[in-house]
Amino acid sequence: MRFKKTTSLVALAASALLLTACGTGPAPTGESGSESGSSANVYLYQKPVSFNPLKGAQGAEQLTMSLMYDNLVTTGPDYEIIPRLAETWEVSDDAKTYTFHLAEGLTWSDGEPFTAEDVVFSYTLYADPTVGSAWRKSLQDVVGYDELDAGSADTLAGVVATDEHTVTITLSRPNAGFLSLIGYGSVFYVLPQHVLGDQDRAGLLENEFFSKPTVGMGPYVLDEFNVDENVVLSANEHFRTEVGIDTLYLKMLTTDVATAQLATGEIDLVQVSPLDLDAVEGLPGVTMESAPSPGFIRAALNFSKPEFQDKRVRQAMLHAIDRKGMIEGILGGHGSVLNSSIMTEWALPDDLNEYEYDPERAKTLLQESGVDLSREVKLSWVTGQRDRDQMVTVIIENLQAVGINAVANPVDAGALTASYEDKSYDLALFGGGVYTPDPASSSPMLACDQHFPAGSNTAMFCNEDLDTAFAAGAATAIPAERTAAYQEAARLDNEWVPYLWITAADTLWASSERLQGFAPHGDFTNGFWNAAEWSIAE
Amino acid sequence: MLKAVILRLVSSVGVFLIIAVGLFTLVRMAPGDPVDMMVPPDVGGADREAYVEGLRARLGLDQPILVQFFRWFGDLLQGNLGYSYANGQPVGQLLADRLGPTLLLMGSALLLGVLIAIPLGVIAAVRRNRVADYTITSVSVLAIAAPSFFLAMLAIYVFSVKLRLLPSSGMHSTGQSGLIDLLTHMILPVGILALAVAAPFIRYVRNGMLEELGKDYIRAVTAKGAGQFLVVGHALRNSMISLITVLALYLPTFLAGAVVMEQVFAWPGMGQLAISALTTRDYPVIIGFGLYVAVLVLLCNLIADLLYTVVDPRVRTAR
Repeated sequence: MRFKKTTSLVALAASALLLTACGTGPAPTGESGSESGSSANVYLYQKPVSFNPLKGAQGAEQLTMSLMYDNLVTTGPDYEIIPRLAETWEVSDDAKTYTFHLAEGLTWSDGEPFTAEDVVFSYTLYADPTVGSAWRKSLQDVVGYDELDAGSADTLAGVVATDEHTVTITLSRPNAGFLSLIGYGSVFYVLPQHVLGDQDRAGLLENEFFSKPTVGMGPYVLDEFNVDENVVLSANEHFRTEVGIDTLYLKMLTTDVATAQLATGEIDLVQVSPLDLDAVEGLPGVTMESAPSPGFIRAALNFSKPEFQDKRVRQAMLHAIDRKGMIEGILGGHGSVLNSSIMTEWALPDDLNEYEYDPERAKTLLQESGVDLSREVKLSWVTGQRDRDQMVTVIIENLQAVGINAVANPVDAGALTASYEDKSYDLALFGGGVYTPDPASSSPMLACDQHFPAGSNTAMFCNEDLDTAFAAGAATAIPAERTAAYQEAARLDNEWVPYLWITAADTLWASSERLQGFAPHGDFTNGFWNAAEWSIAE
Repeated sequence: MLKAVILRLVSSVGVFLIIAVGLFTLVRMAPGDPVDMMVPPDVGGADREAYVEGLRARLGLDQPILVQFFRWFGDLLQGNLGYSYANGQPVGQLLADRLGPTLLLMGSALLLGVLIAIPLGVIAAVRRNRVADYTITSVSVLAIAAPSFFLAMLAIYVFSVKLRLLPSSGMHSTGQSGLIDLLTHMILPVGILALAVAAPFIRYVRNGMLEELGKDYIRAVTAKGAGQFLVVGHALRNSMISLITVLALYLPTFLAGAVVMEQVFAWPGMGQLAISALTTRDYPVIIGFGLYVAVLVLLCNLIADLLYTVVDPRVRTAR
């Protein structure tokens, strides 16, 4: 009797045990258990999937790739173009010829020599329609792009290795913003020809190599990619300078956990949300730094709808929104007000209309326009980023206060894109972009021939004078001429209000005392731009 | 007996296939387009239209839905769950990678929870309406009422941030892979989850025991002069049937991954995979996850039926 009673218990326990036991087998094991070198833990706010520079990558992938690969030039924290694989470069006065002088004696992380041919190979891949890279169109001004596109050539004629250490890129029409197109940040990485040269180009976007790249020019080499857990990288011994930290652990965490780990010392570098400022600033041994963002949060107005075509309506909306108040209240003062889609300082004249917060002025403008705004105006945005969610609340209240019947319309990313496709949205709030390095980069969101989906002009805005000004700015490399052209563009943009410029939020970084040499970058996808110079103080 | 098991297995396969077709239909009816999710509208300087078209063709999403269905179903019959849209990895592999951590977390939490619940439930029943009962019952009600994610955050704050006794999250400290390290990382999540399991279970055990203790055969056993231990043994065994039912219903939900807990503790398990697949409309992964849960439900029901025959001889002879 007693025996039987125990069997029932055992049966129950065993069934549970059985299930537990299965679990111990495939539990991931980190092999690098006993290294003696220095290491740092860094926060990744998303989960990377693959590390393919040819694809349109998400933020965490761009951050990781910036450690593994290197590009000709990139953008430093002051948004100046800085040297990488190219030590120096020259631009011809007609803005059509770019000559890059590569550093000599460089090798890939596997010891193979790095040459100008690798650059030519990589740029051909980025432009080749067979590969289908997301960045293809950035190279459309390069000589030979059309031939490659039509299939009548299989190389990009305008990118030439003039000798082992020199690459010349020739454009078919002037584009003074070309450097910022290929070097604005975490893009146009050079890929190893000796590894990928014999691979089928049509399959490159899904090529196995990119799920665990082993050869690159970056300061670090991928060691382990533990899905949902971390990415382990070790210093590249062939990197062009000494790398300060032996092992980097990029940990995929939620913001809450990351903030907690800052407090426990389990993490050394975190990009923090402005809403966590209070929690982080008080932590002992944690340094907060901020840098101005190269992009901005904006509300696109749907120009295919008649209500938004009168510029007084758009100006009224800007006057109605308390942008400074949001920067103080939501961003803790870490942000700035914009009055143009152009963000480069030298391209901004000082006589722009500042659209101060003035509800009365907004009401007057709305009255003057005579546009009927009694119907619901939906403000669509992708929920989940707390600072943006709060901004939406403020914007809605502000717009309602001047008599616009604004309502919040939370959507997911796919639905927002779909509403651009069928032009059904009213107002769409989103952020991002890298505009500070060069004013030319603000053109695609404004130009008449860049209406979504052909380009990123999701507002469907069009003004031919503005297009002309942008074209004039791109057509010359002479600074004074560029300045004049872009200041004109900024004035027009400022008057026409194609987007409601909500704010440019600063990027905030919290680092531990151990981590030395970290320099904050406002473009968070390029946040590890000087990772080779980081070191650990014990 | 064997015939019954085989019959159950065959019908399970049928149910599985019906679920599979239903899942495919439901998932594809959901709003949202995976390609739109993958390609942001403002890809810098990119030719979005051409890129999106190429992507659709590569993923097979340019085909008519019926063609897609038969391709998928044909693959499924051969045991191929398809490939993730996000990273091209086989779905079976993705699920298998997450299965270990989830089973480890959930299995230990379940085992610990049941081990806590049974004795406490028995004590509460035996000491009915006495101090012990009141204490156990009120604590368990409190534990049911407090959301476990809140307890989890509280535990992280107290034990990791303030007392610095335990790691705040993850499965391993960076660079470590030892058993001790794993165990210290398990203490917080397993503890919280075990509490979440134990709390309702205590109530089930207590109620089941009370029901049995009031029955005539218990009076007979007591009249024969049996000690309290033996009496409780009799009652516990008989109350086990309802417990197994509850457990069988509970197991699949549990093994599907406690989504919130895995998020809070950054545990690399099934729940996290499912959430990210859902937000990106990664159809093959969503369907694969759904099928995994379906298999769990079917399997647990089968196991529960078998356990009934072990616990209750009447079920065996009734066949």
